[in-house]
Amino acid sequence: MTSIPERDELERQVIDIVADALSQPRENVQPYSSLMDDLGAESIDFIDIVFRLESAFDMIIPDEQLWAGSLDLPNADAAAIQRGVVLLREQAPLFRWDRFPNGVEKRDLPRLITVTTIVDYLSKQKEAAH
Amino acid sequence: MKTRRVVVTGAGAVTPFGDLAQTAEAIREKRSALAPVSRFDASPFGEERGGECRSFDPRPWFRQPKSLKVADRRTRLAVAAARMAAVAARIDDRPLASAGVVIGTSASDLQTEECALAVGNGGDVRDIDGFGGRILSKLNPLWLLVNLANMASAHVAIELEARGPNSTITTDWIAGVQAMGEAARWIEDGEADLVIAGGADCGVLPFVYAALEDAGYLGGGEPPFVPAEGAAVFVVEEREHARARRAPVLAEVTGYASAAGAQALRQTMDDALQQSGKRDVDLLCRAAIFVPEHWRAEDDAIDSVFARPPREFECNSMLGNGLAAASPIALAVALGMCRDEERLLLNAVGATGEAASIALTTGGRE
Repeated sequence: MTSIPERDELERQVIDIVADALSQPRENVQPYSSLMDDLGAESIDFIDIVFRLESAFDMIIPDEQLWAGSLDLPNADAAAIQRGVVLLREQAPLFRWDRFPNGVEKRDLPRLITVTTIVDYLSKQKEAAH
Repeated sequence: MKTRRVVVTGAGAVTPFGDLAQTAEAIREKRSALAPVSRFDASPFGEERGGECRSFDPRPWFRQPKSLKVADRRTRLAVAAARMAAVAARIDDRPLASAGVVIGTSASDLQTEECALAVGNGGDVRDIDGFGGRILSKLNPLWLLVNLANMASAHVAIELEARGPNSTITTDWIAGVQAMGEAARWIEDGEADLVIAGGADCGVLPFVYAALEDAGYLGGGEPPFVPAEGAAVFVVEEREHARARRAPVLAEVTGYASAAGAQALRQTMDDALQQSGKRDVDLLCRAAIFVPEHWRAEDDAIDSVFARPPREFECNSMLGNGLAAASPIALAVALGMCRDEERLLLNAVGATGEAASIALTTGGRE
């Protein structure tokens, strides 16, 4: 049984977890901060963040699922990625899309991961549990 | 005759007294750094004191703050001491690109509390499903990265961008001296022109106290055996390489030996002195393991090597025993005491079992 709180509290807790994992001041971690580009996350940091989330919310997070967020982009083909990115741009206007002047390619997907990506995934899990 | 001679061009240390200069001053004044352990309750043990580096702040020594989450105590101490040594040796970026690193260490932090909580999760370590499913799932996946023995050497290399040979020696309290000797051999053999070498350790941990208590080391000796933490790291360099960049020279490594067996300490002191071509030791840095049988074995070895005992030097009665860091710390302080005059130093550690001795000549010997 998970212990995922309501969305506002969930976002606050995820920001705390990400800030701790990446040794960042809380104020640097915003809902649309890119974990990689803005907060310096590397591959081992993602492993650490998943473990911290699992411990905090008493749940198992299957590999890669977390990073799918509200869209299943990592498993999509190029055309689907572009359609997904259009949707993401509408949902996340505060994200620094200017970092991708030539568009988003599949290899760029890890750079799109934000606190909101995590919160979206966990919110879906909470809904599914009910 | 060795074609490649080896010199020490920088030293850095972190001890319960602070950095190397603060340590040398405190040792000169014969102050004690030993105090009741603050990190955990040591009252169940025969020795409640420890040599803790309480004022040590690792943050300035790591370029990325998040590196600290995968750096345990001995790694943090090693990185700080290594960077201090690099500054003392006036190293710029150029010679470090091919520099080697070899650090001696014994105890990893092991994060015993985290391990205990994971095991307490109910899995049976003899059952692979229980071990993998319940115990390991509660252990942070970065645990291994923090606790691997080679992490001190790895982080020193990362922070100093030293991309040459990299190794770790884990032979307990002789490891630091063996790291110095290994560095000298790499340089003599042409594997590297510059090596960051020394010892770093943390003995102020509950499981170290428990293990030493079981071995009968705590509470039985006079002076007492008090676990400590610290690091001393040196820049070891090929002499012409050091000359070319006008580096300060603290000493030349003139002999080194390592051995195992009942006569190991005597044998390594003999071998190191033979390589030095001189037997009149001006200062003997002894391991000073304050356990009666160790102390007697050290005395016996010294008596068998020297017709007239040399002047002896030790720091452990003031700093505690920093395990693999203890002998390098004593050596770093001793080099500071002798650097202006030609002196033969012998740093010998070990008694029964394994031993290592390194001979250094100060005073700019040609």
